[in-house]
Amino acid sequence: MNLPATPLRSRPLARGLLLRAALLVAFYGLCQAAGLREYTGFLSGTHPGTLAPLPSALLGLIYLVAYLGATLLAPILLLAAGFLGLGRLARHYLRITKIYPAG
Amino acid sequence: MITPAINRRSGAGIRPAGAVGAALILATLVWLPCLHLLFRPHLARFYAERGIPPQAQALAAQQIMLCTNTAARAGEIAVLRRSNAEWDFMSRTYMILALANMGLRQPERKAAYLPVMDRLIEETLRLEQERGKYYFLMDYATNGAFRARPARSLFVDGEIAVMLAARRLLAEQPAYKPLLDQRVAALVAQMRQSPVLCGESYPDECWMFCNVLALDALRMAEALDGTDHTDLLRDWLAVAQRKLMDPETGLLLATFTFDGRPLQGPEGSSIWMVAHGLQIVDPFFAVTQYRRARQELGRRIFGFGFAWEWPASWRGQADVDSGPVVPVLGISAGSSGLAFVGARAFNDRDYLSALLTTLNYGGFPVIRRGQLRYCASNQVGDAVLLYSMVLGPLWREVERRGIRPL
Repeated sequence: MNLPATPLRSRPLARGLLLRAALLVAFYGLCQAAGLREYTGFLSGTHPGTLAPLPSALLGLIYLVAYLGATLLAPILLLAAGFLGLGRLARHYLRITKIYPAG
Repeated sequence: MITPAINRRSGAGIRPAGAVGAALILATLVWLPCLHLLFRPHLARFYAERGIPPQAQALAAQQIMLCTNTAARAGEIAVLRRSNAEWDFMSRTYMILALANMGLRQPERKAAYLPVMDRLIEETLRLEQERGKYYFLMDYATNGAFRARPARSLFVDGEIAVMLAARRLLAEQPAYKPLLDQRVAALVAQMRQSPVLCGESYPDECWMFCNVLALDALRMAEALDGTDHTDLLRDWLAVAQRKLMDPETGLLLATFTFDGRPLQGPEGSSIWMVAHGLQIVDPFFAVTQYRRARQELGRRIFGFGFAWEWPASWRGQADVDSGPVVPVLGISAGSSGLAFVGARAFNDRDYLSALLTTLNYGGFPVIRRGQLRYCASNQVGDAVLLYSMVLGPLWREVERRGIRPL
């Protein structure tokens, strides 16, 4: 039986999004493990620890970017990958029904 | 072989970039309104009418440790003082207010809280005596001359009076009565000299926050010792409503000169606490100020609550009180932190829930050994949060003991 293959392009696209999401989460995990959360005090105008204000704020900013990446961007990328996958399935289903109409 | 033909036909309709873009837009539209659901708090873990809710207990454990562990305390105070000497002072005030409320909520724990309060008060008085009247003020306090005589900061006198009175309201301490009497006399003398009945926190600079706390100290002294300050309180309210309001918003100004000339308009890091402080001075005026502040400064987006530092009609700069302001959204750490006090004091549960959602998301809480702290905050911020979780009983105690009607 000669079934149509799934479209070639959307699969790598979805995979790319998933990969980016995974990288964002991994980067956040790294920042968390390195203890950068402690430096987010710059948000309230304080600089905890023994570091000078600028490096302390910089570390806090890196953590903040990583956190926003993991909580805002990564889920969006995951959802987008899911939507692309759904779209691919839908198109695939439509093609099959076109080739093999019911009845 | 039919497959290649079908693939060419199906691929022609949607370009990959367009498909990804559409998927990303759709995902953003789905995710942003849902994100807050992950951080939404159970209010009962933070706020309770009786007893001390679990999160407040964990926050209190951390704060009490910082008050009693000498090394940890020195480190934390150094962090605060590097940014602002006032925060060192205000963290003491809020901690004592929080402990007084906790003691009234849990009378069986009073014996544990009183030594912490005494330690804080005695250390504060000692530092003021040893290091001088500018120790708890920002550097610019030495740039000019106070207009009132003797030259004193109402910020320092008012909050020390509040600390002493809160301690005495929880449990009488005879040694503190003369100290409170002296501070109250100093407050009244300073305020009476100003044409707008407001004392200076800094030379020729009166802060509404400090003046309302001074009024609270007078009310607390009334409740404790039966003194009568109704004339000053009545006159103050009349002058403030006539001369110290921002006409655009109907909110009290944040800072003004000794003569009442506005310096800064309504400010979020001031007005929430001002409204709460007014509850034992003039409850109706207090609720009016809260409602206006809520309308002008309180904001919510995608389920996250926050507060602006300035109303839309007044363009101010971010300063040490506002903390850094997040661009575009205008989120002010100082105003948002103190908004917890306002929302709790006026039982604004929806706004409180939204603020807590933001705190859970962007406050970066850390719990270790049952002690909670917020990494994005600092000791004064955490003390304010703790106070917001336990406030209520102290003001009720003031009212129960009897304050004179205005």
